[in-house]
Amino acid sequence: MKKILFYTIAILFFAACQSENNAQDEVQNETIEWRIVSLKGVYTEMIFDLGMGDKIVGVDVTSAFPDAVNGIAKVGHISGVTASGLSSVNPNLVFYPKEELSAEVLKQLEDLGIQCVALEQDFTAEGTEKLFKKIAEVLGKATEADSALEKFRADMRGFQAAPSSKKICFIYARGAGTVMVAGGNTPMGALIKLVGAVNPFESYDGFVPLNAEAMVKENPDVFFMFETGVQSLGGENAVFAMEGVSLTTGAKNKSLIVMDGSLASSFGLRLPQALIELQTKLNKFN
Amino acid sequence: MLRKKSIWYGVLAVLTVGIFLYALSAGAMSISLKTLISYFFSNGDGLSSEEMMSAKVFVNLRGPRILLAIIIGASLALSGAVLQGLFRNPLVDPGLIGISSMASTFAAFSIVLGIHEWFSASWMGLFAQNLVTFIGASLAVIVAIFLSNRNGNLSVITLLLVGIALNALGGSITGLMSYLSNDDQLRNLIFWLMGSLGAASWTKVLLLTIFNVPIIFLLLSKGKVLDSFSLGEEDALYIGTNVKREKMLLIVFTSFIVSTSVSLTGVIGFVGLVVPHIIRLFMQRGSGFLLINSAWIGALLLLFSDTLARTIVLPKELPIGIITSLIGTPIFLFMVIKNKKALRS
Repeated sequence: MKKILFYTIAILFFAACQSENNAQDEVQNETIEWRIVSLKGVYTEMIFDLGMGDKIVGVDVTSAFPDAVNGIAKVGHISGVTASGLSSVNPNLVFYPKEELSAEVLKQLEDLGIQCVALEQDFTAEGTEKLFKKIAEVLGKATEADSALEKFRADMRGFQAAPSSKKICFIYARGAGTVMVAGGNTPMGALIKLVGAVNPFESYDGFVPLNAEAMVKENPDVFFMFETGVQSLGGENAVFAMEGVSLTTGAKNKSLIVMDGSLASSFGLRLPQALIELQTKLNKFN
Repeated sequence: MLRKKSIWYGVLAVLTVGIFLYALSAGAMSISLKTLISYFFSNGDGLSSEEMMSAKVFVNLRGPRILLAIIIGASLALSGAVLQGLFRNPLVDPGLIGISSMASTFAAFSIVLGIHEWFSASWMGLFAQNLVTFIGASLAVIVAIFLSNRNGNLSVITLLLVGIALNALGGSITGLMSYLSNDDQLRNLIFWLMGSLGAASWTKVLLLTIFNVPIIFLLLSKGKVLDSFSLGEEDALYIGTNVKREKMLLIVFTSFIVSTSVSLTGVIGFVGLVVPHIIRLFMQRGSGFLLINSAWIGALLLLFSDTLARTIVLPKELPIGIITSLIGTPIFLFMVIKNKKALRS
């Protein structure tokens, strides 16, 4: 009997607290108080660019920039996201890459009354602008977006592609043996194209588990990796010692470009910065 | 009887020559025999730079990869045959006592938590991860043997039960690691779990020649011992087999060659389980015959599978485990259906 009494009081107490919270929310905000979950690094970055970073309550594993992201709850990898996991951070808005969130999870989230916005992006400057505008529109920040885009366009004008026949191969990861390289329709492949160089694996979609002989056959002039990738292999020399890589011109000349992963892969408003960095590093090998 | 055996070896010889020629000649780079002859016998005089490169590809990439496939295929299939005979259980394969599973777990630790980076002294470079994986595989073997050891006699049932536990534990830890991983770690991990011979090099061939090849030959000589085990452990003892010692020896040696294989190439399933069955279904002979043919056909199956894996979707590679299963399963099912009677006996 005592127990029942205790639970009843406890439940009433929590209910009272909650309704008080709700009441406060309503007083504070005439408009919607967003509680956002971002399921891709570039979305997180753009939400911060719009000055809405403090409204993010959950991010996926690819969100690594800006540093303030570290204080936000992680909801895991998009392939493993569940509705109950997401609802633990109590969001009312979820940005997710189209077709990457499972249909069941999506349905469950919508049933919970959470607004879910699917986003797509072409890996071009225009694609970045379009994505930014779309996110700004959903958040009701069109004016802020315009001034940020103004700066983005100016920065882009400060970058000049320098066409060259240099073949750059982006190495993503390496499992028991097979190297994964960036094909077409990947951010890194697009970056290589935008600086004016050649991605020898452009005609293959996504990341390609590459045969070592095929690497020698394409014979890249320069290799391009994330800092974390080089580190996990055990340093620059280990990269050049990999099967297949060791026989290429790039390895002979020790040509390796190393960039921060979140900068090179995001295609956010830092795109001009990424392009200039890649180009500057590439110029060293001319 | 004799006729059947000579047909068997005839077919095997033809298959061997055919698969070798295919493996030597197929690949992203086309390499002519003339180029190779000139490269080896006259230091590549008169070869264009492209021909020189193709010869280098042959020597540095294709050659070691073929040898690696042969040694690992033989190791896996032979281990399967030995363990099936020892446990008198046709469903046993080298993964059963948890070797592959714990190896995967340590590979996952290594990839996600960066453990191998602690080992990354410059002399070790790319081998750090292999070493961590080997430690995991060995640990599984030590735990399994320690727990099932009663006064120097291994209890087969306990060994299998410990194996089931290690497999479950390994599977869940690997799952946890993949949950914690970021995008590129996840890709690394998945590719590791699917196995590949893509990183073949002369160093790896040398390592396996030192570690695995002598053990393979030693195991091949254990036909009589396994024959005696087929009578049951008690009877084996009566006919003069040192059961305790042989059992320990066979388990330690098979585990060791599987551990070295797994730590260099990732998990390659199926070969160890099915190759001995394929042989048994064709030819019912003693254990000696089974062992040598398991090693031989295991080597051929892996060599053929790997050649397909590296050539059919060029410039990409398929994970080799997919191919071994795709080739092995239909042969296996076909044999099962055709030999229902042989299986029943």
